[in-house]
Amino acid sequence: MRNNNAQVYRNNTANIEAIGAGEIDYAIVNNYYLGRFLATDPDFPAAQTTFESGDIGNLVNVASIGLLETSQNTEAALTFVRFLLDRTAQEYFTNEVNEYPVREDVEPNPTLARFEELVEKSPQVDLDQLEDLEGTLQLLQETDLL
Amino acid sequence: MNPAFPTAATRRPPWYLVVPAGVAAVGTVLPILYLVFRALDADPQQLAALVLRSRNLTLFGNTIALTVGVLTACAILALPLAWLTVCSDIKHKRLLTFMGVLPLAIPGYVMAYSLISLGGNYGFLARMFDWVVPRPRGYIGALAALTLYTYPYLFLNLRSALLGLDPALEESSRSLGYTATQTFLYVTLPHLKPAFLAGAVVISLYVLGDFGAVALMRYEVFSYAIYTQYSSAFNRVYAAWLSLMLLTMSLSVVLLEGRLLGRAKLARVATGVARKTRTVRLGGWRPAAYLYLTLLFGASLGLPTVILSYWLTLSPPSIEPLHFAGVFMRSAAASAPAALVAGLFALPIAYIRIRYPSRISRSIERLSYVGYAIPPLALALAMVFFSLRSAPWLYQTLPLLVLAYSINFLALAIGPIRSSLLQSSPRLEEAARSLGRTRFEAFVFTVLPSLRRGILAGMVLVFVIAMKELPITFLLAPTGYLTLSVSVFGRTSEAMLAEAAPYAAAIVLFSSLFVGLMLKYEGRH
Repeated sequence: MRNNNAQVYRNNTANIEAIGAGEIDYAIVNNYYLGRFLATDPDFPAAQTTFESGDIGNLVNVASIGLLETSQNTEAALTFVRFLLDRTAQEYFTNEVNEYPVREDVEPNPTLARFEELVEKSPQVDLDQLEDLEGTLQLLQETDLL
Repeated sequence: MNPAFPTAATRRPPWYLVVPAGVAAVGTVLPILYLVFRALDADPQQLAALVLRSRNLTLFGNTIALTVGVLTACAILALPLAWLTVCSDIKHKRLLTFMGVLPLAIPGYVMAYSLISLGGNYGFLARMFDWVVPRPRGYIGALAALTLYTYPYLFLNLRSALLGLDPALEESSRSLGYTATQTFLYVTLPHLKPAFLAGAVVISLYVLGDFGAVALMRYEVFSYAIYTQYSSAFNRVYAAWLSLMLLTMSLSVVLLEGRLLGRAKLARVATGVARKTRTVRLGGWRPAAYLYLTLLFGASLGLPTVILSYWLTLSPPSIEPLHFAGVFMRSAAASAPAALVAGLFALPIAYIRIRYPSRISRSIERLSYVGYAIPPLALALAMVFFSLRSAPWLYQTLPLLVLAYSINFLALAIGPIRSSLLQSSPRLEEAARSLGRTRFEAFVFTVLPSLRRGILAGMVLVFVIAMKELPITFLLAPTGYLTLSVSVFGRTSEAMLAEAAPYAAAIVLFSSLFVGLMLKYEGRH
């Protein structure tokens, strides 16, 4: 990436803006940011694409929620988890935030690629293995990217 | 030459000035202890790897280059403006002064974002005029953004020095054979030195600590590196070391200013006798002056105004008036007390520094600059640490936010007060004492009136800056305490420009109202 003169922008949104400005041709961002640009401006000059099948760039990741074992408010926390999994909340994430629902009874967002297609192209990665923060930071520091 | 009164060296400042000044100085130093503790957490091996990285040298070079560049550019912008609005016969001086101070009301991240929004294939110029220019970035981008909203610090200082200048000085110079240009170079400019240094210190420290503009322009300086360490790498130890390195640079700036200022004696003999400064006729230079003003204000005020309006037209914002009013009041409720506290503490610090020069009073003043010199993000985290450790009842409260603002902006309030003090002669106080007034009465009746302009200018400065302050507000505002700056930054960083515009406009409008009030009051003085 360094040899290809990759640019560093501060967040997903700034990467998409840089594509619009013509500064860069591609950016690796979470899929749902582009949807917001297109919702306010259908002519925004950027589109979603994918890497070759099985490439790490096609990673399908999950947004998760957890409950602390030490929690003092287990009841309230569980109520909140149920709220997030509720059909109304999942419809909100699907249609407003441009994400994929975890419930089968929620209609997928028609502006997004089919979920099955994405999973097919995604690499075989155990998400639980993605936890080596120290190693990642060290790599970034050794390459002077951070 | 020896006055009949005891010299400064033999006098001691009264306790009611020393105690508040000392409290303020100690208060500003506390956060540094946090940084030191954090930094000492590093294990030696990791430490060597962190501190001796060649990247630090790059950051150092970039930081120096940016600071020097911004200072130079600010001087080029501010000196002609100060001269035009004080010494020339240009029309609408009050309005021009107002416009010269106004950029302070524009948040740095809005200024930087406006510059960025101009260029690119899909920027303002491309979409409105089919005119594609590259988006500003890196050194030039950061230089432009920082200069356009920090030059008023220098302008304010230079202007108030020019206003206080005794015209008899320039007249003597002319009568002794100097031309107008020679007089300006050899008589006027040297008298502006303290004002220039005061402004330069504030701007240098601002540049060293700013992260909004440099982050948007992607220019790698210390503060940006600290920001990425805190926000993405979560490496508090490396961030603390970077902060300490940055702090060393800031303190060097402050020490350098003290050395350069020396023991200049620039006061008139008394306050009452100066006539109005003679105005210089511009004549054939008038078009050049107007061209300069057009370019300056076009860039510093016109640009952000046009971009903000453009954002508003992108999609009509839906804002609930009540929500909006709440956000607004929260910003004001945090900034106003901070301005008051900073003004109250700045007065004794500036006073004992000028009237009772000693190692202690100099140290106190320099320590108060430390609060301004700490990178705001580091200061905010230090305050979190301090409150959790020593005062849990303060954590997540408004007073803690006010306290952090006050520590951060105390130095801003000192500058104008010090400049006014330097120009009001101690002989007046001494006369009051000799006529039977106590020291306190002499202070209240002779010193305070001549400082009114400086104190007010300092407090307004703090208020306006606090209204748009971001990093400290971001970290220390109590949960749910949504302010204007947080609303603007949150929305612009997610490219929700139309939603951000009303809040940004509110910051600009409200702050400019106060700037106007200050100038109106000053005019009556």
